[in-house]
Amino acid sequence: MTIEEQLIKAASDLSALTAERDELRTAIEASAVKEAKDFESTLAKNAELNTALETLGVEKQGLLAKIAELQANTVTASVEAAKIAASVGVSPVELSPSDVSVEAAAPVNHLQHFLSLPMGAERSSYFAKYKNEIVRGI
Amino acid sequence: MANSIATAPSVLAESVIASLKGKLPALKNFSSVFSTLEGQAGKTVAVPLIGVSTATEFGSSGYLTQDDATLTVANVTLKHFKVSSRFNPLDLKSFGAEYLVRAFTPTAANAIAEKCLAEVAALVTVANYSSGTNTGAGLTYAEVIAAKGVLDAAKASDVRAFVLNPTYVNGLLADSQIVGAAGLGAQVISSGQLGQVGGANIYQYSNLPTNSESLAGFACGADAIAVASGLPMTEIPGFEVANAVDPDSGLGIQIIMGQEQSGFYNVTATLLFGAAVGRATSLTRLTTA
Repeated sequence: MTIEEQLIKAASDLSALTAERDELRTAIEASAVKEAKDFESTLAKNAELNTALETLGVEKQGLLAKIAELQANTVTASVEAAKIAASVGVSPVELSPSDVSVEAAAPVNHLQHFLSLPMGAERSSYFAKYKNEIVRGI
Repeated sequence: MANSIATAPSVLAESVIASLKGKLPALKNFSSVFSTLEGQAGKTVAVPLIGVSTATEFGSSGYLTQDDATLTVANVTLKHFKVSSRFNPLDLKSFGAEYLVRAFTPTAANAIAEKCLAEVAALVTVANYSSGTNTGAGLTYAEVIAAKGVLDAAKASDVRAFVLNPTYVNGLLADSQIVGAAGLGAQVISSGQLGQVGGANIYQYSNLPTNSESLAGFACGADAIAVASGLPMTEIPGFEVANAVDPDSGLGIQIIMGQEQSGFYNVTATLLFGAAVGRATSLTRLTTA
C-alpha cells in the first residue's frame, strides 16, 4: 500500500469513527433525558403513595376507634345481662367458645341403645324400627 | 360372633315375640290374662270373663250392688311349653348372628303359636260346649249368620270370632254373597283375608283338630274361652336368659341361650300358657257331620 493510499484509508476511518462518536453522543443525551423524565415520574408516584398512606392511617385510626366503641358496648351488654340474671336469682355463667362448638354426631349403636331400654312398648317399637341394625350389631 | 352371646337372647326374644303376635291374632278375641310374671307349670291364673253388663239407676243401696251378674272368672292352669334348636358354632362363625335370628325366629314362633292354638282347640268339644251345628263339607255366608244368631240368643259377649279350618275359610271366600258384595268383594278377592263377616273376626287355623267330633270350626264370644300366660323362672349356669313382651296384649316370651359342652349353641323359646272353658253357652261348634 502506498503512502497516499494509507492516508486515504486513515481519513476514511477517522470519518467513520467521528460518525460513530456522534451517534453515541446523541444516544447518551437521549438516555439522559429519558432517565430524567422517569425520575420525575417516580418522584410524582412516591408523592401519591405518601398521600394514600396518610389517608389509610387516618382510616385505621377511625376503625380502631370503632372497634373500641363496639367492645365497650359488648361489655355493657354483658353487664346488663348479668344484672338481669341477678335480678331473677340466677348466677350468670360465663359462656366459653367451647360451649357453643358443634361436634360431629357420633354414629348410633342401635344394639346398645336397644339393650338399654326396659322391656315393653318403647323397646318393641325401637326394635321394629331398627331391627336389621340391631341384629347386625350382635 | 362379633359380640358376646349375652346380647343375642334379648334380640331373639324381641324378634320371636314380634313374629308370635302376628300368628296368634285370635287370642285377642278371648278373655285373657297375659303377663311376664315368673312362675312354673301348674300355676293357676284366675281370668275374668268379659261379660255383658247392665247399668242400673243409682238408688238407696248406693254402689253396693253388682249389676254384672255374668262377670265370673275361669281358672286357667298354665303349662310350660318350649321349643329348642341347636346351632353349629361353625355356622354361627360363618354366617353371623343374623343367621341365628333369621333361622330361629320363624321356627320358634310357629311352634309356640301352634302349641298355644292347640290348647285352645282341644277345649272345643261337645262335653265343654254343647251347642253345635252340622254345617256340612263347606261353610256358607248364611251359615255364618245362623251361627251369629246362636251367639246372639246366648248373649255371648263381644268381640265375636269364627275360628275355621282352611276348607271352611275357602268356602266363605268362594261364597257369592261375600265376594259379590259391592266394596267388600274386591278386597276379599285380592287379599284372601275375610276380615270381618257378620260383625265377627274370621280366623283360619290350618291345623284345627277335629277332636274326633268332626270339628271344622267354631264361633264364639270373648267370654267363651279363657287364656293366660306367664314366663318360667329360669336359672341355668352358663346360659343367658332374656324376656320380651308384646306391649299390646301382654303376651311374653323367654329366650334361653347357651353353649353346650358339645360346642353347639342351644337356643330355646319358652313360655307358660294355658286355656280353659269360660262361659259354655258363648261358643257354638261347626261340624262336618
